Amino acid sequence: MSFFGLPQRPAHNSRMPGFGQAPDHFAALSSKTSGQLESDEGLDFEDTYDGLGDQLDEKDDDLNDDTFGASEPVGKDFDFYGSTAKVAGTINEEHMVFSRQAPKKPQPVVTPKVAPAKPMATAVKSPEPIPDLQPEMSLWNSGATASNHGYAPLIPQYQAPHHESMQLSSTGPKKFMSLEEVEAQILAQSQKPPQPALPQVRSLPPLSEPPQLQSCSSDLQLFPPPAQFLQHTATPPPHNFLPPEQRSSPAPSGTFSQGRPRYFRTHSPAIPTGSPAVLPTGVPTLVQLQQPTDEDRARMLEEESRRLKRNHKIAQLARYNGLMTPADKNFITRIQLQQLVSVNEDSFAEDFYYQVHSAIQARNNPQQPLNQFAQTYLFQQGQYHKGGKFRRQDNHLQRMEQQVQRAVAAAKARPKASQLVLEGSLGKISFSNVKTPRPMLNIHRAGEQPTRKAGTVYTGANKKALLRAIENIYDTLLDLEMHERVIPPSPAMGQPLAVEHTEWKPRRDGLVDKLWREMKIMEPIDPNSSSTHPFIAILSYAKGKKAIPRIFRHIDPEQRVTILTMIVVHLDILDVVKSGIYHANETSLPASVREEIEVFAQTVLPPLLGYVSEAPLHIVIGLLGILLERVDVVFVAKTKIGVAFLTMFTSRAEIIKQSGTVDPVELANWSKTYDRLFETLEPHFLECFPPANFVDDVYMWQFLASMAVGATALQQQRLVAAVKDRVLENVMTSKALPPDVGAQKSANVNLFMRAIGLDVELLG
Amino acid sequence: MAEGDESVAAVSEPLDLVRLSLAEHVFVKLRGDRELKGQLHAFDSHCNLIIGDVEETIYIIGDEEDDDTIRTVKKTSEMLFVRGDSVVLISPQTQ
Repeated sequence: MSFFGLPQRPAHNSRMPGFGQAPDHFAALSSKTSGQLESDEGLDFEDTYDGLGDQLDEKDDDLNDDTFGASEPVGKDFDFYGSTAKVAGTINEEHMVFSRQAPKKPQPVVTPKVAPAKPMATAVKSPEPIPDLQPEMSLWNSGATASNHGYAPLIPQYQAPHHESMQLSSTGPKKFMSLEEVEAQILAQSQKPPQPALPQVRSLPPLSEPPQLQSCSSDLQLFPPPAQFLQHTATPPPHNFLPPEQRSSPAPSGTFSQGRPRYFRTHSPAIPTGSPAVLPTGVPTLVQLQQPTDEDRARMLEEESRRLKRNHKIAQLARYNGLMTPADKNFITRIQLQQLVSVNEDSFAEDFYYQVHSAIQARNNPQQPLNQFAQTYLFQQGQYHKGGKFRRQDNHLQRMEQQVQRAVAAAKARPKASQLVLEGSLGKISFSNVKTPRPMLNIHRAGEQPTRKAGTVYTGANKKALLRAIENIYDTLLDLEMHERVIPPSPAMGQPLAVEHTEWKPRRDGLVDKLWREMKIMEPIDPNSSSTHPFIAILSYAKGKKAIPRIFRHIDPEQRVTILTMIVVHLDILDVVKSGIYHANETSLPASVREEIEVFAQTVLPPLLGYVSEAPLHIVIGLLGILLERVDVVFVAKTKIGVAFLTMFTSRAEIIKQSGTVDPVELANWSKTYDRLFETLEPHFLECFPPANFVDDVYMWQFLASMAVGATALQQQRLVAAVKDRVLENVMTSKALPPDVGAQKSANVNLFMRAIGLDVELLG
Repeated sequence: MAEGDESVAAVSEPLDLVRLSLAEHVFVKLRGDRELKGQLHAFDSHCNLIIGDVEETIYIIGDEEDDDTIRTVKKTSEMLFVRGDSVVLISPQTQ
């Protein structure tokens, strides 16, 4: 037995469960069988469980010798089967004994080969249903009541002893009083049966009789005729009959010893198809008593056998009932709980990030966080177990899940508010949860509230929220553009719209709505706000600017004018305007600003220009009016983008004016607005030019040209007077520059000169 | 408060934070004592990055054993592909 030179038997036995258990098992049994007759007091079933283990450890070595035949030299082939086969007979015997005493093992172990076991085969089988008595009792009772009329003679046989025993227990029922006249007779009869009945119990040899039976039969001494007791067990067991420990728990020991004798009496007749000759005890007396007709008897027997079959079936089902004591169950539950916990940890260790990720995702929606969190969590647990080897725990797990859910529900049921003011209490009771831990100190600083209110902040105005909004805009844009690509072909003439058409439009509208929301353009304008309007803040990002032309493709004119108005209203705080102004002694803007301006000019301006170039005059007037009302026009006009807006409005108005289809009232309005703009800007025209000659100033000349076209003769003169220096300067430098650059520069100037009917050439 | 909730809801995974830096200037720390500054054009789940206008800084500790001086080498590239397994951190660059 030395495996790879390991130390021999002691280590082998104690360490290796596979080897140690089988022999130990039987050893304990055999020791039990030897001592069963005398030492039964201490062997309550509950105690047996623990005591068994202790015994095993102590007697390991000796019993191993018995089992495996240690006297033989140890071979190297490890022929366990062979050595087991040698003692197969003993094992089988003991096995049966064991299964009889505590039927933990499946029955088929009984093999016909084993001679000594054979006579007990039925005996071994039949005791199995022992534990469960309740169903049978109900059967008996119901049968008795139901057969009150038809089987009157039969009833006394079963009820009279019952009645007597009930009287012994001082709970005698009244309804059996009608049968008193037969009582004495039955009593006389029933005193005899113990002799046949008990031997049958006893006849199970000392080998097989468990100590419990003896202890109970000693209990039986309380009742004069054992047979009465045996019959009595067929009725609901009056609790005061039971030993204390049995009373508290329906442990197998009580029902075991009580049930078996009864079972022998009633069940064994049923097996030989109810022939009265074979009936050992009860039925002969019954035959004597009732003198039945054949018909009655047949019916009765049929009834009886049916009942017994049912009993047998129920007993089969309930075979292992009550095997485990509450302590056992607690023990198992504890192990299962431990496993559950350790399993949780395992799954977390295996894919921690997934677990956490899904948990977080499940909690994304703050409205129903706890419930979902629990469900996701438990769902994963369930998945884990279904796949794994812990299938048997599922029931238990389900119960655990339900418990957790109940706990969560209870947590949810608690008051939602973070504070609770109880009537009569001196302070507030604050609750804590994960998001808002309970504050230990609740101090209100005097100055805190006012400072917070002073600068109202737009919702979602912090940087992360803005960036997020931009990402959402792009997401929605991508969805929308994808959706535009799958536009279904327009239906043929006269055909109704297909499902795709009816579904496509609402979805598109939904996406546009979402896009509109994400732009945050409808946030109310708050003049007191310390921060920038979110839409304008979005425009301060290059990617925000680049989204505008794509957005414009999908939105309707109403929304376009909204965007335009929003930009115009905030023109002075637009980043490209705010930082696009030339400071003193500054000849060029920082690269980043120039880049932003370039991006704005290339992305945001074109769609706006596209809208304005088709806008009616009243909108142009309105927008320019807003600009003059709410924005520092002089400041705006000093930047390239600001000037571009002014040029946009003035040139569009001029084009409308020249088209000749204008309402005179609107025309007058426009003149007024234009005059205001001219008056405002007149002293500052020169300041609006970029400082250095080398900076491209064509936008300025374009603006001047658009101003000049719409100006009156007087205004034109003032305009020329204002910018005369700049014109001359430009013409001079253009001549000093290389021809192509110079030509470009003079062409720029000429834009303005031609608008007032002059030409650079005229200046010589 | 609503604002805080919104941003919490907006970020559902770590890379969502990187996503917010798309088209923005980022600071990227790499294994091997390297740092990048540039405009983040693209990234994927492996943290592979496309960065434009990159300024790369390499920190070199003195060659000799007892030479603890650190010198830096700077390189610029118009566009870089950075394999994700060398990325240590990505941070929005404050200018």
